[in-house]
Amino acid sequence: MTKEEIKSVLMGIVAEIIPDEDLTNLKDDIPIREQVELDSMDFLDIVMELRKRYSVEVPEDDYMQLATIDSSVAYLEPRMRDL
Amino acid sequence: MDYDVLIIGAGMSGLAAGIRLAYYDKRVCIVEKHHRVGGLNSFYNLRGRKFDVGLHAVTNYVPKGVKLTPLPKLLRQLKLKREDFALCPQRVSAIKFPDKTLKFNNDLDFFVQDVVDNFTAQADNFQRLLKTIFEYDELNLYAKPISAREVVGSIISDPLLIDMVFCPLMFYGNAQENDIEFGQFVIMFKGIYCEGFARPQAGVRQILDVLVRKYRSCGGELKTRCAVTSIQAANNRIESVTLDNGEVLTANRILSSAGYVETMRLLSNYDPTGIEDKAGQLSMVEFITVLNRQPAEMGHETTIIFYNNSDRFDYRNLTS
Repeated sequence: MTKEEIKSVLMGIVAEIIPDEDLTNLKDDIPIREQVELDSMDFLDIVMELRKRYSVEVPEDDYMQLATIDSSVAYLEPRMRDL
Repeated sequence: MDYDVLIIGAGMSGLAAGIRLAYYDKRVCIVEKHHRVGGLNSFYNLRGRKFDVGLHAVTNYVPKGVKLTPLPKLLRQLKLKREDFALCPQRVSAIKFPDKTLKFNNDLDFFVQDVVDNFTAQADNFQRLLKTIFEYDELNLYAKPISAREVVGSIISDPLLIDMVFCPLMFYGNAQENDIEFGQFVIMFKGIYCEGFARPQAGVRQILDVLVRKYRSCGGELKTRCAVTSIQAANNRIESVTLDNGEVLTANRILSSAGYVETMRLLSNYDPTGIEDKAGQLSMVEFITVLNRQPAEMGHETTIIFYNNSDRFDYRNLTS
């Protein structure tokens, strides 16, 4: 998967988990939780969906690396490039 | 291991936990001792009529479009559609004490106005109480427990108003005598006065059907008429669970919604010290009257009336 595809996958999952939020003008470099209402349970669901659909494991110690869209794509890229 | 997770009890909490675990691909089994699901919020049929067990209204009702409150969050986390619950919002409920009646509906302003009309001297205090409630983080699991009577008592100076405000919240959300933890008070205040009451069209079985279907569609297993008779524990670990038919099940994790004391009693190495005294002190007794006409035909428009016919609101065990 390319970085663009990974970003698209991630945004698709986020959109499913918080369908009531407007994700159109989300900034890539600002923490997602500062731009939309995403609580810790929602965040956990994102991590769980990544595991369920793409078998990507994100250990708890790595959660802070998923703060922004940019940092998430950078984190996921090596783990999803071969998918 | 037979399962990743074994859940004891197919009430709403057991089913909700089951849905999330099964959805995320865990092998889950829910064991339920009764022939039907629902636990403390179940249903039954008698003489051709349908009845619900437990509390008869759903709290935390908000209209479609309202976000961030418990109901939409719950629906989202369980991946359920709002329409499936077919919730009908209440018209108006009342708190009837000997000297005063307060009314509330699903609009907080209506309740605030009625409080101000009935307790004019407490108008400013009541606004301060609302502010305190809205500023409190009721979901903080690490908050130090505080007495709601203490907090509210330091803001509202009319004991009757305090008792009347507490009344519905106690019935709907308090297992403790006389007082309630302030965080729980805030949760119940928001759920009942700020959000509101509703009922599913067909009663609680409608909600339970939705939960069971979702759970099964996610691959979860449900065994009814299966009571857990003992939990084999050793060295602080659970090894297995024995059912009343003799079957032994193993799981990596066991979640129990049977109640703390009830669950501990099942342990093979059960030591009652320090546990039995935690058994609940309060019970509810229900009398049901079946009418041959709609309440509205008799001029009765209220959804729920919370009665108290004593001077003080005495929420406690009759023997204490």
